[in-house]
Amino acid sequence: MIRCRMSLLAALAVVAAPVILTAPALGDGIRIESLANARLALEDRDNQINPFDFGRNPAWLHNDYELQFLRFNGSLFETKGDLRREFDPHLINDFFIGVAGNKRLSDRQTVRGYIDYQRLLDREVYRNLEIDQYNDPFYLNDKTTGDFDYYGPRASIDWGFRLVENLWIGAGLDYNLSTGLKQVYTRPQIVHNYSGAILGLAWKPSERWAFGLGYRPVRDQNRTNFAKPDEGYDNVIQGYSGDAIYEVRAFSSYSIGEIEIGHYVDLQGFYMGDDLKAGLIVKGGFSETEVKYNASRQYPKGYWKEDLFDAQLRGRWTPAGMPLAVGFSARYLTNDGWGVRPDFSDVLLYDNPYAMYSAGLGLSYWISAVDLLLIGEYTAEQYDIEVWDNGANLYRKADQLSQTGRFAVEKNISNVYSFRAGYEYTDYPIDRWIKLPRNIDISRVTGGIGAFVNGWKVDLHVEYGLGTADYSDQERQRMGAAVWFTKYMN
Amino acid sequence: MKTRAVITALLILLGLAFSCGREKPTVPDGNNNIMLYAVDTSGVQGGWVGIEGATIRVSSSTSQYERVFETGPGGFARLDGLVAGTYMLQAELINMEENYTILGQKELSVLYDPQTDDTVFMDYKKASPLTMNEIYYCGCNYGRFYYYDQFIELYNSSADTLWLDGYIVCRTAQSDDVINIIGLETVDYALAYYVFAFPGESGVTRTVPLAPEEFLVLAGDATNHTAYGGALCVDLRDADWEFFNPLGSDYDAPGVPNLLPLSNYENDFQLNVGRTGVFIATGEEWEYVEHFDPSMNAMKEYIHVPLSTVVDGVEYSSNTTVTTRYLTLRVDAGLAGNGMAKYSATSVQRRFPGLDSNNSTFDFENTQPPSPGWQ
Repeated sequence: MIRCRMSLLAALAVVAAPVILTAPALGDGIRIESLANARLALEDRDNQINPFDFGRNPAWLHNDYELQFLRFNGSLFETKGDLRREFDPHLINDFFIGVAGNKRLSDRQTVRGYIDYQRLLDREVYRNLEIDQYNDPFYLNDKTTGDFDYYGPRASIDWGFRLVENLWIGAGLDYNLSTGLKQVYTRPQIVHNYSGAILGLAWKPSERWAFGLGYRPVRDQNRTNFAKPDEGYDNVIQGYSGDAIYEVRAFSSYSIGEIEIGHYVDLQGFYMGDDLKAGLIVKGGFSETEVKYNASRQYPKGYWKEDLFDAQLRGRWTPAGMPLAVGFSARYLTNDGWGVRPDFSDVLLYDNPYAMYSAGLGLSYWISAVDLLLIGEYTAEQYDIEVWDNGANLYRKADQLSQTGRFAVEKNISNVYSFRAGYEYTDYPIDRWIKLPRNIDISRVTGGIGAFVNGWKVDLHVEYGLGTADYSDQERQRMGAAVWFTKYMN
Repeated sequence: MKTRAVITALLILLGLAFSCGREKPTVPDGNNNIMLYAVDTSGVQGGWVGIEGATIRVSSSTSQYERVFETGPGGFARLDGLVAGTYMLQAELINMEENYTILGQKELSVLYDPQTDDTVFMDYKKASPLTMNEIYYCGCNYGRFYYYDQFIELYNSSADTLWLDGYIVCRTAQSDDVINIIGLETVDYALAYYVFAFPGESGVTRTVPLAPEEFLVLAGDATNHTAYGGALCVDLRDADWEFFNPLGSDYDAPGVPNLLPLSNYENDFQLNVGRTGVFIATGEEWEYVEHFDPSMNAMKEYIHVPLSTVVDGVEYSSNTTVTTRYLTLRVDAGLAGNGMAKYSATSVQRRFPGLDSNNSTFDFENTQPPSPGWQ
């Protein structure tokens, strides 16, 4: 969904965004996606164990990628089905076209940019009046089921600069702007405006070691504007604080804004030996979201805070002289989300702490005789989630293991053509609110072709996914395709 | 050594980032549990005694919350799991057969009270026999902004004929700035903007009767509004009285007697389609007063109506909460019309004629279609 890509930090807020609901992230290589996203043991220029590819530290951009390129891309994905949370759209149709480029400005600085224009159609959205009803416990509803059409650009830019020998600085900026309209009463206009910056520092004290530091401020604003409807009566909405406390608001025109401001710091350490490469990223920070009613004389109605700690380890061992790569990963993530009503800020309305422990192992083997690459990986994620909706006197708890297995194969012909296929199986995804239907299995089949044609690298990616539940006949399908046209300049 | 110092400094930086922002409260919301004791102080049952079987209506003015409890043996009712907020509690014992009502009310603010006791004292209702039974204000056609079919329905719940000569029907001031400057809870008058009067002199003449258990419909314009505003509008040709302002270009329905304005404005008696206050008074006392309106930077004329003459008052609002009340809590402690959309052809009507606890949240319910002259 758009919100998972619109905000890097919003993505962190979702414990395990169900794979079937989530489009590939913008920065992900299309080759990796076609190989079922099996990235632990996959050697790829977009999947290196370094501060940029693993930690998006823009200071390392100059070291990361020596090739200059210009790329045009487009994609269309559609997700539909009843196996979803109550306020998720029944159907999501996501189309965008974009252009990306990487340019070395000199022998000490590099810039990379991306911009696209997106059209997102959310169909049959039940009551929800926000671009993301599940980003905090404060949400808006009316009593209709309707369609939303969103349009808008997204852009990002990274710049890396070598300050002195073995010391780099960098900066990055992400910006998304979209406007959506609900097609039926109450017809709100939703204006989404996200901006996030990254200030990075990278230091390489020796040939094998590198360290990085990043500071990431973010600002994510969603404003829901109501105007006089055509139906001949007022807009009547419900503003919820948790799932039980709500206010009824009736008006002809009104505006409700939600602004998240966050600050994150991450420390990065990398070992980059000949056979073994490993990186550790430790990230901490917090975000605060304030919900305010009315445009001029604003009334604070909700406050939501998340305290984040995230430690990620990833490594890859490629023994010399062997067509083998072994990848491994581990992660410890805690996110303590809590909310209050500003009028009663001394009592805790909502408490939603969770922890995730994850470990993964991957293997890739290249059969040189037939130029065939085989990849397999397994990741296990253990979630401990608690949801205290004190206003509703509700408590939910999940102590759940989510497992993902991936298998992929790539056949190269003369270093000109590549044929890719992959299969991904996820057992029991979960969301932080514990509102996703339980016991879901997701199967995803991916495929792709890469070819050099008249100096252009053309990559095509297709996929089909199906989510099913153990206890019902409900399903959710996802299918789509993406294409990249890349011109390498070097 | 230098590397270690750098790493230590960075870890401290990370720690600081992790610890910024507001502190999480340590006590949960939704943990207010009240043991309420409903006491009959009327003396009918021999002194003050707890009433078993009394209905406890609980409504919040800080969120949408309405629940009904019943007292058990000894007059106790346990209200569990209330979220932080301000609540109006009403204990009522209504006996339709013997025609008496015992009521008690209490406003309560809670934040974190896991175990608290409180008492609500009940007594015979001392409300006026004349009440506004139904108020229709929201209009019926948004496309045409048609709200001219407004009406107020009066009801006589007594066993005697009431004489309304000289009585006044008032709409409150609606300027938050003016009301906040005055401070309605600190004065002994209601602040009116529109005031229309029945003919005659209160307590002297007898020309405007209202028979026992009868309704009296006061129309904005006593005509068939379906012809002008559409099918949802109200046909008020059978209205008993009509508000008429000869100073303006108001329509005067032939054959329907008029209430005439005391205020010096040219407007007809119009109710706000979203929220305002309405009250009726005996008309024995009132006075013109000018107040400074900061939003207009000018003096504006209002009418002070002593609370001692107010017979009944109702404040309504589409929204659950309001920042400024237009009627003092001494006249109406609640809000009618919550959730009502403008131009939805919906009225507010008492749950049954004559019920008047001086809390419109409990007394009224939204009704569609409006029912002028009957219930």
